Amino acid sequence: MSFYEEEDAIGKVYDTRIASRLLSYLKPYRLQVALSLLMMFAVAGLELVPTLLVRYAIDEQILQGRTDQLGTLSLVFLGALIGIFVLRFAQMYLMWWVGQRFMVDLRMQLFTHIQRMSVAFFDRNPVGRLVTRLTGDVQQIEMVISQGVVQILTNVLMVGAIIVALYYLDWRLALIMTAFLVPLVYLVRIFAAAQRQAFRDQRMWMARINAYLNELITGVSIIQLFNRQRRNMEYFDLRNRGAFEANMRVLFWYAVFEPTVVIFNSVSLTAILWVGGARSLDESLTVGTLFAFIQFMQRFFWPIRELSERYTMLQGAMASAERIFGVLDEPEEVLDAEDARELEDVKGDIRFDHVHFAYNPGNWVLKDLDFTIPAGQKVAIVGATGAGKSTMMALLSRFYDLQQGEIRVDGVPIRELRQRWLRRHVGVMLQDPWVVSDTVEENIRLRDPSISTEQIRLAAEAVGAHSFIERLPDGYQTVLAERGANLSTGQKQLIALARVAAFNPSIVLVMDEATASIDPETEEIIQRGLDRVMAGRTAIIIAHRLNTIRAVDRILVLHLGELVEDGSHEELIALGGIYARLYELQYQVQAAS
Amino acid sequence: MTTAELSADGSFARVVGSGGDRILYYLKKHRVPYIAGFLALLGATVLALLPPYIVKLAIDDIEAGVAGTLDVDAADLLRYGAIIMGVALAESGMRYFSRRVVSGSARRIEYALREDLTNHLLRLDQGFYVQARTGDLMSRLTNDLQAVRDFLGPTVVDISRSAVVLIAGFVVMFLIDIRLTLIAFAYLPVVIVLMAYFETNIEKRFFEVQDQIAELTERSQENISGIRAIKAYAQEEAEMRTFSRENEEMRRRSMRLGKYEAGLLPSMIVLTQGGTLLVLWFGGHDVVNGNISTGDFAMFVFVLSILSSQLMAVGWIVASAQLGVVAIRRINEVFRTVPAIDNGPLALERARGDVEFQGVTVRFGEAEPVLRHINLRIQAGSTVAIVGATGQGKTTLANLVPRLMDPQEGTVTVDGVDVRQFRLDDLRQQIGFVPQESFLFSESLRENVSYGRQDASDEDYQGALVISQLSNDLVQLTQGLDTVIGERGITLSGGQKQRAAIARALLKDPPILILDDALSHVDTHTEEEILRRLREYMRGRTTILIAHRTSTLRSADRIVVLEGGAIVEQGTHAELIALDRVYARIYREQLALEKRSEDVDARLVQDADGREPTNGSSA
Repeated sequence: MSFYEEEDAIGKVYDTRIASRLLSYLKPYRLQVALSLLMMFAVAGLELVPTLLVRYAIDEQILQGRTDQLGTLSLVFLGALIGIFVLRFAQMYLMWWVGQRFMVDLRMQLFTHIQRMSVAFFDRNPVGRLVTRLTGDVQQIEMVISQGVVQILTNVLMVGAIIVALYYLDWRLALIMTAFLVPLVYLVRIFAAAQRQAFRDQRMWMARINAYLNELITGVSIIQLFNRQRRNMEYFDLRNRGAFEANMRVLFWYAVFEPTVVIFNSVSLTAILWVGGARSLDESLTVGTLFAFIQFMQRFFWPIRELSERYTMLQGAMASAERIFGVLDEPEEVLDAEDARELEDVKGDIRFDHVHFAYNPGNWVLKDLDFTIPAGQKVAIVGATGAGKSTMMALLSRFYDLQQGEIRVDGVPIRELRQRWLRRHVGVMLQDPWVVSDTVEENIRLRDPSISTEQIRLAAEAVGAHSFIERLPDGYQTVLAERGANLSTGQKQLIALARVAAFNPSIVLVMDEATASIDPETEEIIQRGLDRVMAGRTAIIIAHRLNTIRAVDRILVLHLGELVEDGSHEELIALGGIYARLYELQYQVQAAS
Repeated sequence: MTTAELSADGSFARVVGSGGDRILYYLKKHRVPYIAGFLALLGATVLALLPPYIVKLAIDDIEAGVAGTLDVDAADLLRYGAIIMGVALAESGMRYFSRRVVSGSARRIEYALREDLTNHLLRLDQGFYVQARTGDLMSRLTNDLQAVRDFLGPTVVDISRSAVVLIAGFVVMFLIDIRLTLIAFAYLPVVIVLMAYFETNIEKRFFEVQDQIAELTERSQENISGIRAIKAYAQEEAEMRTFSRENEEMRRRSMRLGKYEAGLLPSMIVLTQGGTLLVLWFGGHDVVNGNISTGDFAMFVFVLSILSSQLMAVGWIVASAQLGVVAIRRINEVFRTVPAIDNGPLALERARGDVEFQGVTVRFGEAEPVLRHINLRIQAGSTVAIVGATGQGKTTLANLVPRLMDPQEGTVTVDGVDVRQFRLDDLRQQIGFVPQESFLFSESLRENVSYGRQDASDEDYQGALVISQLSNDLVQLTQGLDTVIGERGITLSGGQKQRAAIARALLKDPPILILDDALSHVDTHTEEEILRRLREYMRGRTTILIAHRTSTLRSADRIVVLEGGAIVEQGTHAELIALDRVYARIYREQLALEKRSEDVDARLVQDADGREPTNGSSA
């Protein structure tokens, strides 16, 4: 999974382009955001009230020996507290609401976009990476919006409000106080830079630990079999130690930050007592004001401290946003033509018209493939690994677009057909049967509501899957485990076969390789099911082993992306080419001993 | 946290056996820095309460100065300032020291625990890994360990600081005015009750959200890993609908959490400020009545503001402590899993290669036994093929020899000695094992092939590469053996991986060779080449083959048929064919499959329209 990626370790704190793009997601909720902002201002103002009330009480009541207004003051105090509570709650809840909406929107947009990507995209991006985009990365940004922004803005506003209050109370003393701000901001910046570097190291090492751990755990039996625990632990220790050292550097910057704030705090307190106190003595500054200064300066450093803590959060969110936008910016490679159409009825004629294809420009995987398969014919594709067999199949489903030539179904080029429509009519039995953790029934219909329970049953019966499904604890309603762990490979293949049958395509493509490690009995059932699925349809079957080619009308032999032989079994044997040689070999194996 | 003490006998196995001790063990080991850190923290916290007192003195002085009852000048005030700065310097030093020392120890413990955990994981048997999920284990070694580190570091520091601040603040205020102190602290029980209310609610809803995140992850994982099937069946719309439902559920759960998250901080602010309100009212009267001085009043307000900033952090501390406790539990679970495989005392230089199973029974958990009462003798130097349908226990049987797991009943012996008697390293050194799933490390091909033996000569290398036919693949790879594979390198095909796994096992030059369906991804031609060369290599070695192919089966000295976890037949190929029971049936079916290509004739072609296919060569 992608939290092991080292790329994750690097991230900017602020990037205008990314930030403004993120902001555009908030547009539908601008009213809520604006209201929340307004309330933040009100909160910042209200939070000054208690201190100002205490000041007034000291100067106008206590020092004057009066208590007549204390009751009123206390009531105002209480009112301010209630106001703070209501506003803070409302404002936080509102931003939380916005954050959740944002999360739903962004995640859905991302998911939809991923669904539209062509298969080439999935070749490039490992599953784990995309899963992280959809979960962790979205979450990270959501957190900043529903919590981070509120905290950061409240803190900034608080500092601003305090400065205003200081100047209002006494501008000369306020000037001294704000003078402290300059070195403080400077110091915070130095800390932030150093911390950022330390954090980056820390995350990089964690990513390395993760990657290595993943390998250790998945390969644990190999490690044990080859007695490599000690050696692998040494490698692990290198990474663990690296992380530890990076951790200690992070710790240093944490540990040094708090004392710095304490010292700044005391310097400002000293200045207030000394300068302000002296002015109190000559009565140009009231004791209440002096005390309010002390109180405000206490509050002053809080937000600054918190700001530095939010820094990591922001940094993480920016990096997440960048990665998410990276995915969103991937263009759709295989697009429906504007006037894409659907055919009334599919006969199943297939024509490869001088097809050239390369995954990477210049590196042809298929060269000038040119052949026709009439409707209803059953064709086997034979060739060594890398000959281009599965590529050919993928092209017929239009998982990729051709560089040259044309593939036609019933005489219509497939790029003029709607992709989804085409795929509904080209049934594929994949090498690795895909199973979701849902009921057997849903696994057969792939959650497509247009396929009835009756159709599912018929399909299962047709391919010979019915009897084993019936024997499952809840029959068709049995929920399969993650990756079908409660089924054998053979059973998964039977479900995949039933799926093909249920979707009732006109053209069937079968990738045969996966049957390699299945026992003969199950193999027999699968073969029978395959026959049923192929019956009456145009079928193309990739046979990795010659012995799985059965009942085909015709054999196409691919060699290094070119069609080199084409004909029936007898014709190709008579031809004495590649196929004959492969066949001979196989035969010898069986004849031996 | 577990309160169990380090066991009296103190042995490592015992410590591992009750994992709570492991964390406690490290805490004890680091007790000196922890105690020093706490003392410094105590000092710093007490010092932090001095400035309010000095402010009180200053304000009282100023008041007296203004009233003319005392001769005060700026220099006097500067002296107070100097004291405050001196105190701050001392406080800073202590704070730095305590954090450095306590959090530093926490990080050392994290490091050691991660090392121990990984080491522990590498010793756990297959029985454990069959049930464990990789993602879960990984998150225990990373996220959970970090939570433990935060718990043992900042959280512990903050909890103690909060406690000390509260106590010290109370004491300082108490010394000045008992009544006012009690009034100011009157709201404290309310704060505690409120916090408990919020914390329980937040925790409950937080876990609901976490569950949904897991659900979303699962959905995404399933969708993306199956994207080819989804596209092939044009089911994108259905997928979006399902995902959208889960996504919306996520929002609903988050909103339930949000209500409490949004309420916590405001409540805390209001309640802590409530103390100041009470002091304003009661304290104001006290000053005017002459019970306390203006300075005392100011000090009360000052101390309360320090207390409330500390209380404000309590919510965060409690949350982090909860995470820490959960994480400790999860880590202990791993430690508590005792490796079922332990080391034996006997050394083993090079085995002859006699392998014997005596009354072996294996079951996973409560389920039906996978193997039952297996009795099987494999003579040194012979080749035995194990045959049977999927799920009959073939792989389990193979795993018993190198002790990837131990049987519940019975014994497995090598050269007549119970394998549990041997030193584990020595035993495994005897066995070249090619598993069903070929796993390679993301390192160079050379590293992978020489994984079991670093001192191999070039000649040995060549031998292993040629027999496994990996040599043919090397030509295609630009950097040959130095090609890095896996995550940071190139991806090998299934066949190439299997060939590398075979080369890795062969290079080890083991007296016992176990091939568990090791050629399933290799194409027919290469398979034949490998088998032909292997026969040479197998001479003088005990070989256990799990296979389907008829040619492989025929070449074995003996064949063992497993069905339902029991041996139902064994003998030579000829004997079993003559017996004409399970093996004969399996063999014929397999042969039929393999010979199908022969029978691609007109008859079958006509048959393609749905009639039952005739079994090609069951004669």
